[in-house]
Amino acid sequence: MMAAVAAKDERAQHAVVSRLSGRVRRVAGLLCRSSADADDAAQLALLEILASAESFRFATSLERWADKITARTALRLQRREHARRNILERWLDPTLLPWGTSLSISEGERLGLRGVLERLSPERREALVLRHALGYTVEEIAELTSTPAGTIKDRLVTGRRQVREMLRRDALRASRPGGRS
Amino acid sequence: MNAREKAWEALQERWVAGETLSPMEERLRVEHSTHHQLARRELELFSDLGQELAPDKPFPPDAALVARVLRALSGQSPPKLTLVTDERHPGSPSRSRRPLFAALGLAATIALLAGGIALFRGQEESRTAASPAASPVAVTPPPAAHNRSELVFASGEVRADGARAAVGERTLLAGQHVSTGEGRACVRIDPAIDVCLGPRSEIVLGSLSQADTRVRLVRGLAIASLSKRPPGETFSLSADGVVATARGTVFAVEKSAEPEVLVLEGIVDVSDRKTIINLPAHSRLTVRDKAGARPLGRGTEARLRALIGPVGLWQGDSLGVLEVPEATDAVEVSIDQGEPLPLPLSIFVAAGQRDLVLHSGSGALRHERVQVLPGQTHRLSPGLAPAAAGAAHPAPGPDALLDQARQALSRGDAAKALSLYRRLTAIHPNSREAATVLVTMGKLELQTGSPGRALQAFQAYLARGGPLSPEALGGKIRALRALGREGEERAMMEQYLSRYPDGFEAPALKRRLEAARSDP
Repeated sequence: MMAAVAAKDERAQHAVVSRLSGRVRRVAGLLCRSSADADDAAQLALLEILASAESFRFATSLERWADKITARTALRLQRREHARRNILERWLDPTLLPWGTSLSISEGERLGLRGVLERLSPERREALVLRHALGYTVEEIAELTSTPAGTIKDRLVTGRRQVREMLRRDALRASRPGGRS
Repeated sequence: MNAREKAWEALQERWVAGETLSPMEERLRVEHSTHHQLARRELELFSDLGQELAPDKPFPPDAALVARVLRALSGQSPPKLTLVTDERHPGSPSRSRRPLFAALGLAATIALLAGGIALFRGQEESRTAASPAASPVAVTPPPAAHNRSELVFASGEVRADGARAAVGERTLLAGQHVSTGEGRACVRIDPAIDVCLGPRSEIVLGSLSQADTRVRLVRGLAIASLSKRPPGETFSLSADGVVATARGTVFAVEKSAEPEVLVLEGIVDVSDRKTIINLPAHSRLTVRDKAGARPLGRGTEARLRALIGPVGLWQGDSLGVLEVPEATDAVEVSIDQGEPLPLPLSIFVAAGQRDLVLHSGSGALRHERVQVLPGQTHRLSPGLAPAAAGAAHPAPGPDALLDQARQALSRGDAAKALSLYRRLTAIHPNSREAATVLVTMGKLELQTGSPGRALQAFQAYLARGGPLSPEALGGKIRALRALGREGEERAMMEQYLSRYPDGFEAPALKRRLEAARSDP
């Protein structure tokens, strides 16, 4: 099928985009901080997947191959977005920013995976997602993000400590009279 | 926090940071959570994260995303994106320039072909001029001035002058190109010169004259193995003006940013028009690098030797051709317990009984014993399903092998993961993945009690260099410690601290170094 995609066969392109769209969007959603970024990253990643069809090799899992392209694309997009936000945040009131500032938990809500990921810094979030959702080794993550392996380990460890602290505070809130705030 | 909780914390941090825990440690890590609520929530959260992209998890199509991508593809509307990016998508400058690049590429190819033909014609003319044809009494042909050259091994994607090539079809002439994609190839030049190409490599046969046989490396890696030449005969392998000349040895030239000459046996004269250097065995040299010759690591040497591994199969005079086509159920084949070779395979082998093992992407598939007759082609086909039309590549790609290795690691099967990493480095030695996995291989070798092999893997990575160098150097230190080579360990610790004073392992190494100094 990927040979047909490489030959620009429209039906094959439609089939591959349909097959991968849900997973690609999920990978992008895990790696990107905002839903809009994830949409953009998923769209770019699918176009990149179609453009790279020639490099797909026999006996490779299409999904795993697509995961890697999506991860690279999402990481690249996040770097650019991060730089753009730094510029905007220097000049604008945080409440005016489209990505918002509120990370509070509503009453009765349990801090779940999404909530935890949203509260992590982009670098720690990326490291934890690449290691524990996509299953890449520390060395592969280092290569993917052009970051020393020691730094990746550090991000994994400090990210995990932050997760643990979030869970501890969440448990404390839940144990207080009146529940969560 | 009590001692038990501290122990669990340490285990959990190691696990989160990517270390493979022993079965006992893994059991302790999981068991603790049954008694501790916060630990249980943490484990549930990581389990949820791990399940997010589980291989068997269905993902319904995202209709809106599909529609956006297809619209962008058909050019009906511009992509939704608002960011300026350099991604390749319809309408982007890179895509619109493709016809121009294609035209330039075609022009370059035509120029190269024309050059090759001109070179060949030039040689033909010079041979004619030198021949005694002008003599009216010439009754015997002149002795062969040119050596016979022929493709003797083609595994995976191999081309001769751009056309898919198999062995035994025709001989090669000066000026002809041989190239590989995801595959390997060897050219035999009489008498007894074998030039083998790694994946994504290309050579052009420069001169096949007996006195001065020359092969030029256009890209990638070529390794030559030749018996001792008689006086007055030389063989050279060149790239970008750097010429490596030998009279009997095993050596390679690898072309990346600068051509590098790597000598496994014998002595090679390396020149770049200004200087000539005698490069001895087990050393490597980048001529334009002022650092001079460096030792050739065992890891690199093993990688190079693997490329000329099949050479022994076509020695002797009684030869036949063995062909194993592409197949849907098999991706590689081993001959007589040799390393797995990508399909399709076409090779000269000594006549007689040959044992074949066909491999799928995940392991051995089936065994075949074939009888190769002298001068005949034995094509292995019964029982092998033909490859699907348009299958992109027969060999398992680095991604596929990495994926299988990851799965093996997640099952705690370090031995299987190591074996898959070794296959990856053998089949795709020049891939980025092959370099990356060297560090992981080293760590696994250390874990499985093979510090010697671990040291080789770390040294191989350090020889190539890359972003994981601090990690590789840290691994090398641990391997040296495990081998009891304290002096070298101390020197490497000092090197680590001077190169990476803020490195991840620097604090622990400082403590160890201080302890070593205070304990003479």
